Amino acid sequence: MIWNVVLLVVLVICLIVEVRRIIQQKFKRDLIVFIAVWGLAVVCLTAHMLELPGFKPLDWIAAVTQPINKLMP
Amino acid sequence: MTNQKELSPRQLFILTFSLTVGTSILVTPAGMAQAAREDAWLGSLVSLVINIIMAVIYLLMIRLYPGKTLFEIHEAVLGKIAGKVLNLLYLFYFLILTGTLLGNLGFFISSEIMPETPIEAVQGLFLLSAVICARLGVIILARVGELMFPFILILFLVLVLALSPQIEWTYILPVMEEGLMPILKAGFHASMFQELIVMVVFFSLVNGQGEGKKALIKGSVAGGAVLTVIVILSILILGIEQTENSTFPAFALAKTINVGNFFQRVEGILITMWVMTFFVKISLLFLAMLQGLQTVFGLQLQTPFIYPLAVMFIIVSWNTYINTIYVADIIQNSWVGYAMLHLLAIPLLIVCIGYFKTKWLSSKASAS
Repeated sequence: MIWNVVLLVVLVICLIVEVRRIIQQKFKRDLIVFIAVWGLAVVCLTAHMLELPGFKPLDWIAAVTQPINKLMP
Repeated sequence: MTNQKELSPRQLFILTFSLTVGTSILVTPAGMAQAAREDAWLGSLVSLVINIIMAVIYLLMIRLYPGKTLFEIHEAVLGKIAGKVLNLLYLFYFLILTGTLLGNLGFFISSEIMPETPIEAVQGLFLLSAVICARLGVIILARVGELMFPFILILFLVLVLALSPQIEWTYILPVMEEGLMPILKAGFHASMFQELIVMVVFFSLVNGQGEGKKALIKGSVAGGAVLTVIVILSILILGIEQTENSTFPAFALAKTINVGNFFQRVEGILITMWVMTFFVKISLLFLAMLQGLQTVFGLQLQTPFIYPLAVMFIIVSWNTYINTIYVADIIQNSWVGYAMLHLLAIPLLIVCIGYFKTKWLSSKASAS
């Protein structure tokens, strides 16, 4: 639990510091993409904290590559 | 001090070597022993040959589009939209790979060396070093690699020399008892764990492209040779059963070192070697992801993305490396196909399309 809180704190500090820096440099595209990537990190952290059963990237890969793996030796 | 903005061929060699050895030195012998038994060393040689073939394919990509990174090559060959979609797939591959490697590291350290330390603390510390490296850039990483390389070599030589008295040559028999197929299968599977394609992201930074190409091949050969030696030693000293059944046979190998009842309990040698190469591999993947994001979205800055990516890496590691049984099953049954797509199939396709495009364009230009 404490590790999730540490990651949450890192994300909050990162948001404050980096958004200020990007706005100062007036890179609009960078700001949009940063918010998107940061949002994705928050979604991942939330999914992990909620212990969602479907949040297993290796299972997604196994499902998608099943046809290829059938052809592999 | 010069403000170096380019990689030297020697630095490229060291980075390629470290990327090849990376995590493979610890886990590859077990998988190869399971597939090919006593012929795992032959499988390792097959893996080396496949890696050279893959390196040649990547060099063909680079030759078609000199001065471009992997992500720029994809966009140049497939067009903006398809290229960006492919790049996003590669970024996802690098993300999952980095998370799994981090999980592997944490599991090894917490199970074999520091069992009372939380796995998250170990992973967090290594990730912190990768974050510092990501902030400083690939040139600094290359210089760190140059500093670490002599120690990696010396430790490897000490490991080999200290283990040599324990070799039992009969353990390698019988040779090719089950034919060629298990050897080829083991070699192919092992070659999918050396992600040389990451070097295509940084090849445009190399000063002296001709020497750089030789350095890439030499780095993969040297890394492959180290892995082959470790596999051979695992079989000749531990025997096939222990090699097959150990989670980390190279670590088990290092634990057997005992010279004159004095030079013993030196498995720290292997751990040091592995940690150094692992650090380079993780950092290269991190930097490749940053470069990929910058190319795909046309960004001005890379540094704001370091911490969100680091958080994603550690979360992915917690959700991929759930336990060894789960990971071993996925690696054996699913990962090879997924890696093969990104390391062999797609680059080959890119080379074919790129070659056709450049040929067609040049013939069109000469006709007009």
